[in-house]
Amino acid sequence: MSLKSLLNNGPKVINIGMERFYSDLREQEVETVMVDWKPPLGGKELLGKLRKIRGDSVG
Amino acid sequence: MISLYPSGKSSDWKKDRKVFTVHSAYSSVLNLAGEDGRRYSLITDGHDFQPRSALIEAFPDLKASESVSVILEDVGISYDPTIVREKVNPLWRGLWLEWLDFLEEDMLCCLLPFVADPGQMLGLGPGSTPAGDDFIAGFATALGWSESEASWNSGEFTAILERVDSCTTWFSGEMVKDAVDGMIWLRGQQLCKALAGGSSSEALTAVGQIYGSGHLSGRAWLAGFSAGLERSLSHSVPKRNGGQFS
Amino acid sequence: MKRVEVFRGEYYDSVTLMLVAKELKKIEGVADATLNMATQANLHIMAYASFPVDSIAASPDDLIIGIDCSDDLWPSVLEKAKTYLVSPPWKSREVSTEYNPKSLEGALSVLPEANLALISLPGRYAAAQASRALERGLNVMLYSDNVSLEEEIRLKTLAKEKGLLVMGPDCGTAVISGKGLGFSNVCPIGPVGIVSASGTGLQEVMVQLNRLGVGVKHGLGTGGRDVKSSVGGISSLAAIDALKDDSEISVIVAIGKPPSPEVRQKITDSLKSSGKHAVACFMGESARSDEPGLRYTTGLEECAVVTASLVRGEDPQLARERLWNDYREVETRGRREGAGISGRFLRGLFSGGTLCYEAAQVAGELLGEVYGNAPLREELKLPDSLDPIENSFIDYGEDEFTQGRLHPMIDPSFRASQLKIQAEDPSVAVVLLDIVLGYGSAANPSEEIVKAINSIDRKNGPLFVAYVCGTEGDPQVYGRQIDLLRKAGVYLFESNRRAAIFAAAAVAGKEKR
Repeated sequence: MSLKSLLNNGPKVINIGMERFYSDLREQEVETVMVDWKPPLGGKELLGKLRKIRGDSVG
Repeated sequence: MISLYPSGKSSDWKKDRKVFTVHSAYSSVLNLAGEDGRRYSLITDGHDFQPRSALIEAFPDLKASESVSVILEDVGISYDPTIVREKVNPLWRGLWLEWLDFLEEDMLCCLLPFVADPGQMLGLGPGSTPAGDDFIAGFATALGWSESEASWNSGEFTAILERVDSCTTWFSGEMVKDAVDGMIWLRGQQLCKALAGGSSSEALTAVGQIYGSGHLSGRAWLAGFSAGLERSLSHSVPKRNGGQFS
Repeated sequence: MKRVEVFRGEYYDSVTLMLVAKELKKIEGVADATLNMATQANLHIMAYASFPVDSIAASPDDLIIGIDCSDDLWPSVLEKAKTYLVSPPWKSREVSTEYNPKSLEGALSVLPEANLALISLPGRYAAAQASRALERGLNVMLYSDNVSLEEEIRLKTLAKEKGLLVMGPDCGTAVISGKGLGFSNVCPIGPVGIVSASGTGLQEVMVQLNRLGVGVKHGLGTGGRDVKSSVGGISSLAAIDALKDDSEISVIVAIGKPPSPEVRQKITDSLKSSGKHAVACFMGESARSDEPGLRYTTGLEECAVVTASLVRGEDPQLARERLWNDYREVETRGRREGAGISGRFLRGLFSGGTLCYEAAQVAGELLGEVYGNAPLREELKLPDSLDPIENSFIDYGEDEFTQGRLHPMIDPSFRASQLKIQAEDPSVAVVLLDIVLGYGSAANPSEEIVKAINSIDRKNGPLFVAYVCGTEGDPQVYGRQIDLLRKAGVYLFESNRRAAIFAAAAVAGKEKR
């Protein structure tokens, strides 16, 4: 995706944070997904263990 | 003794007319112990179909240890809990990998050290079904469902079956046994169907149905399912043969 | 009795915290309740409200609950707070709700054709997510502030390499193909493309264009620091280039504070070579003659008026002159109305940063020194924003009030409480406000303001002047907002500048003997 394709195709939005923005986009019939993001609680050590299981740095 | 008359049943409920002992009663599910020592359940919401379950409009107030008779003559099959192997759509990987993060939460992080060897989780963790059992159930389900070249460590699951009765509650053990035997609950079946397909709304609804169930069970199950999918995609799997893995 | 309790490492978003506080205040015997992440801004505001936070050692990742109730009620109210946080009473109790992904990767598997990430996390987490989004080929709108300049430069450099745009940090408003992101008003689509360093600046220009019957196709944000020399205008220039390429756009507009000289040169060169009409509004600059291909405006309404005239093929200079005429009339009327009021000073209480800036500028021209928390000159900065002096303009959207708190456009209650305090001060003659409607803003922003106005305990009250930045299509129902304010005796004007001219002239009119 590029800026050009964003402007040509209209916004398709991943919303990370305030739910209000997501519901406002839905009301305008914009294709959108809401991410319920929370900061990592277990700290870096646990996160490292999980990432090892996954075998990559997805997260 | 009260007789109950369900209107639909799962295909693995073979007893047409039998007496059961009440194990636990909730607003939408009645759990029973059969003479064969297995768990049977009566449900009032079709979404709650699972192995050995039957749908009933309502049930009376019943207490644990009471006897009930369940009449299933001429009752049609509404649900087949047998897992059917399918290929998971790899495009969902970003989604299922999130579920491993549930183990970071306060209540579930006790399971974290055993993710590579889930058998160790039997009976471990909080919840009326210990969260570790939910994880194992999800794990076994994923391995039983996901059609791939992954290798199947059948010894691992034999060991789990041997320890189930001594390591955890009867009720939770039944859940683990069913999963290892290749049987699945309806919500799990819907999730599998969604993950084999390409519809976002189907996937998100199916995940939501499990995520919200129980206090921790749903999340622990999803975490296990995720770990199982990961395992299945990185090893080769031999064929299943009537419930046994060779 | 006011007490506080700290819960370490418990994260909740500001909306949830606000709603739980609202529920707690419904309990009989609870005089006040406030739930906040323990940021500096929140601790400061809680201290100001006499909650005992002085000896608290807490970090912004900790939750602090403050309740004003009797000692015997305290344990049960605290329990209720904890219950509400886990099981929000306003949410439906269905088990079968849709799952929301918890990560960017999960979201991408659900919406693989996504082309923009709208990020409104606390600043210290936002940059990492923005970086990941760019790596995955997404444009980014970064609503979050508290992102360092170094991170901003890094993100924008990465975006440039990939042909992507970073709107922000601190970008609250954007419009793409007529769809609003963040705070935005419902406006038609038209042949105008806007690049703006300012959120409410963009909103005001769009709202004014709407009043003139002109629509906007794209309104792209750049964040307030983009035109500093260290950032080099990366986003501004990328946005202008993209608008140049759009055949449906005939006028390109650039809004913001004056850029640093070398960035300014690049921006004006780009605008002038666009082959389209261009209008610049570098706020705070003195008037400048138009150049071939580029017209200069000094205010948001003027920017819209000139743009509209270009769209319609009319003479922008004539349009300007009509506008100056209108402004003179407003000023005359203001001086007249001001003659009889009690008090001496003007207090501006704003939710939109650029609206505050523009209004303060106007006031400065008519009244001389104007103090504030984001003043035009450093020496006019208030030592304590909760304690304004003389003529003062407070922007309640500034960092000091929004760290770990809801923006005043979303939650009007704090500004409303400050309005009451200011208006009851007998030295205050005029109170000036902005009320911003549209997506993102509170459902009924005038309600709390009007409640505060009606509760004021003062014999000869101050004059209330307001500008409602909104359109007929906005969810808050523009007409209803106007009605509410009018009934409370508020003087209303059709643009931010007109309201400021009237308010400042009223105070200036007082001084005239």
